[in-house]
Amino acid sequence: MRRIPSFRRLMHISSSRSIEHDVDAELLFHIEARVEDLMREGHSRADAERQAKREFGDANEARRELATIDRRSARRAGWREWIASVKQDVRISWRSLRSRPAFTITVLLTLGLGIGANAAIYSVTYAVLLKPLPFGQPERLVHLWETFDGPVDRRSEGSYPDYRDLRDRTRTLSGVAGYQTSGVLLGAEHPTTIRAGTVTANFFDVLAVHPTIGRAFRAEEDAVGAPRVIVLTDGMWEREFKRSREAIGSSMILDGRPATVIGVLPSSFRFGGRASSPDVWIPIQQDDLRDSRGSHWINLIGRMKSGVTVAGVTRDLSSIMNDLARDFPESNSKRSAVAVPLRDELVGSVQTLLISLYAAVIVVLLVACTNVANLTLMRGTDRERELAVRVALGAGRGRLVRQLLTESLLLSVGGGALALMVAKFGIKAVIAVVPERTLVSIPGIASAGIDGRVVAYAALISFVAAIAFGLLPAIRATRASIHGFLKQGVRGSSARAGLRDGLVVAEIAFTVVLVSGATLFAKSLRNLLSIDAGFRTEHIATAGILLSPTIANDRARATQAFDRLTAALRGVPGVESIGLVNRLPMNAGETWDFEIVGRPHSLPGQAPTGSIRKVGGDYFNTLGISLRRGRLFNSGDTEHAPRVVIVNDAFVRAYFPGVDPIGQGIIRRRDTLRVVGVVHDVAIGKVEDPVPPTWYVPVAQESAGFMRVAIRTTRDDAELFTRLSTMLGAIDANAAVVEPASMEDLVNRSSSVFARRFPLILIGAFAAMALLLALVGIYGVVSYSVGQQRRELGIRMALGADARGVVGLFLRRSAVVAMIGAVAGIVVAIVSARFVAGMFYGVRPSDPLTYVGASLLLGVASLAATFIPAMRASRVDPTVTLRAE
Amino acid sequence: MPDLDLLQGTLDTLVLKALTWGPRHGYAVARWIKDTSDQAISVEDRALYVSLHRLEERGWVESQWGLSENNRKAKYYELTAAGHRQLKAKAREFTTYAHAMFKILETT
Repeated sequence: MRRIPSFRRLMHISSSRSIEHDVDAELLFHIEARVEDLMREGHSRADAERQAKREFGDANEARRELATIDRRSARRAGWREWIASVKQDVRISWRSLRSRPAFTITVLLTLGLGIGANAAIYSVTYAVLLKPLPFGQPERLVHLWETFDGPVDRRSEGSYPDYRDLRDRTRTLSGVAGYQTSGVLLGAEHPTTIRAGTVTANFFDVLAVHPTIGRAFRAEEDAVGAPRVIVLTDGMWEREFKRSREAIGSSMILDGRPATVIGVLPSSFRFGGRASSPDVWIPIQQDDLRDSRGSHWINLIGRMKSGVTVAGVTRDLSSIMNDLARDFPESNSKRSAVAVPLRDELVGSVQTLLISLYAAVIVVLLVACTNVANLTLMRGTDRERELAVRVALGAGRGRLVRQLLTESLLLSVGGGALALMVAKFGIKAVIAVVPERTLVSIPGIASAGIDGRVVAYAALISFVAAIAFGLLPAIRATRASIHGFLKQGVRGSSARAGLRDGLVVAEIAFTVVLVSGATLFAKSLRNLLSIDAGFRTEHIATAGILLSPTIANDRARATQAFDRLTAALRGVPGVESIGLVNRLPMNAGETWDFEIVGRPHSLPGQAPTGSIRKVGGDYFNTLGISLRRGRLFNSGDTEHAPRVVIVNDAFVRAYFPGVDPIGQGIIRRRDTLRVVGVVHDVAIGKVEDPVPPTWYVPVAQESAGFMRVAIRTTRDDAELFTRLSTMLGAIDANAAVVEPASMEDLVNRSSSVFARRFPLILIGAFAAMALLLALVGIYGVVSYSVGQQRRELGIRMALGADARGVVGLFLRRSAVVAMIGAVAGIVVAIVSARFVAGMFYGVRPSDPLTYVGASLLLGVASLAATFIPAMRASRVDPTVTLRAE
Repeated sequence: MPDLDLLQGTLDTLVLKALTWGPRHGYAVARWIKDTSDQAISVEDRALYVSLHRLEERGWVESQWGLSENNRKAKYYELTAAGHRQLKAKAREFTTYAHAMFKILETT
């Protein structure tokens, strides 16, 4: 047999026509050969042809069948070849990437960092802002605020009678429910504290949440005196019952009294915001506040009917509130109500924060991508020779592009995988920065993690980044190499040098934006921490004291218990002084209305108000709150002594301007209190907010079930808290010490500090990453131009230029690039800082020092990154370089 | 005509065997089967070509155009390494089967 080289085979072409042609040729050969054989045996031609055809069978059927088989087989062969060629591409790309480890590792790390940080923030942002709230049709849920149009506009919780009227009269809401949260004692002896959501019976109906086992509350279960029932969160079910179905119907001791478990909520259920995700849910059953329109304590939520807008709900509620103001002027005049989407209420505080972080991390990604583009561009120039040779050997441009595409995809897969590791670590780090108290109030943040969505996001970003910033520059480089290289030898065109400088300008600009952002937050934090909050924070240990309900509800016994505890604490060595207060500073609380003796009775809704603090022990001295006039409370101010009050400077400014406040009378309900002292202002709510008028009353003259103790001590806190528990147990076996923390920790964890420290840490980290990437980029570009200009430098030095001149050449160039980048960066930074101006404190978004500082930092950094390769250039031996060309 | 499945499998094996002596075109394979079996096995030529093309699809034989003894263009088939292995396996299978059948039939 002689072989005929088949052109079709050579070119891997197998069209349908050629397949049929081949089948025909093959069968024709068979018939002819058979006919010839038969004729040789003596048959006539006609006879032979008949017999051959008979032996063959149905020829038409055979043609169809064989062609089908061949077509199928050609398709498979095509696939096999394609896969083989892809394998080959991957192999070549792998070799090529491995042969340039510095390039490959830099690109991988750059992509990994940039995309990883991005995926981490995306994951957190998604979990908090984008993931639907774990309720049925959550977009229809609204939070309802009562509003008060008095001397100070403000929002407040609702009163129970108002809740009842809103619920019954609304036309726009299909349901209104109320909730409140508090700490409760779990267990009989040595109880622990857990958080309880106290809700109206329809709460879960309004949220459209169904327990996974058991049931939710029935309508009659929030009646006064109804049997006590509990709905558990999934976490609590796990903790107390190890997920046993036996939980339903079993009993738990809450606040010293048994209650029956009736249901368990889905594990996805989280209710953040003002409820701080309670552990258990119980119906509201106490009766003391049910009929008071003047007591505002219940948070309200509602579910909108279909086709209703939030503004429509607000109009509806306002008109109901107007009617109530007419019917109950004493309590309701000037009060109205407003609806806000529940999501805004739950995550509103972190929305701006997360969006700015997301913007910051996108900037990091841009710096990373710019770096990749720069590296690829330089590498493309480096491999011009390789690519040009392949073109000369007959590789088409398409084949080269496919090769480059494969390299980009390999890099993107590697970078993406690295990014997921960075993201996994990053998410943990982000969550670790959030204080626990803040964490529970941001619904969903704890659920942030690497899931399919984050993987898809990282894959998409790395793919786009690799294509846009890896492949395109590479193709650009091949175009030049294909056309020009073989003619003129290696020489980067000046156009490409310009592009490289442009990319460095962009990197510097982006980095300036991040560095200035971080600086603005750092300054805000410094300003915030340097505010004189009016009290000392050093060496003060604090803890909540939760008495058992029987004692807490009995004023005399509660006072006695606190007295005994204070006395016991005083005996502990190292304890210098002890104070009691119902709320520590920086914790806005109740505001009470009052009247002033000797002045006309105020119109409804216009009574003077002040934040109220109930204090005991040596509160003012312990916290270092200085006395301005008069006296502090003393042991003589008992339950039966004349009622007394101490006010702050803001109170005097507001209500006794130009008058001696000492001895003035303040009327609260039926009691008249005498002002005995004036103290320095202390932050009541956020430390950066103005201090409101505040009045202090002795706890002995007011009922106070829950108090916090503040202890000035030289002792170790942890050990002190253990002793405190023991001492408290001796006084009230069913009481608990809750939320022990040093005053310094409380300040650091406060929302004001968090709102600056959190972005400072993260944006600072991003700025550091961007700076690092920019340094790598600048270093790469300068090293590269040193390599490119070797010949030119050689000539210059041969002509007498000294090392200093050569270094200066590069430094000047970098300085110009850095300056342009800094200016661009400052412009972008000032514009974007305006959007987040509200997040800063005591620093203007256009703070000149910040921008000068950031620019200087970048300038110095970029000169440093230039200096090393430039020094190398200056050591070039002219004779060697020139000979090499 | 006997059961088609059995026939197809048997035919495939015969075709593979026919190619153990080197590349052959379809007509030569047909002749070889007829001659070697003393005309005992007679199949339609059509079935034989289906078999050849299937074997090629499975990668057990490869085909190539060449020139025949009397200088005509013909399609030659050649066993691949996988084809050799397949033939061995099939041969073993048949032998075992045949032994078993004989043993049963000779039992009195």
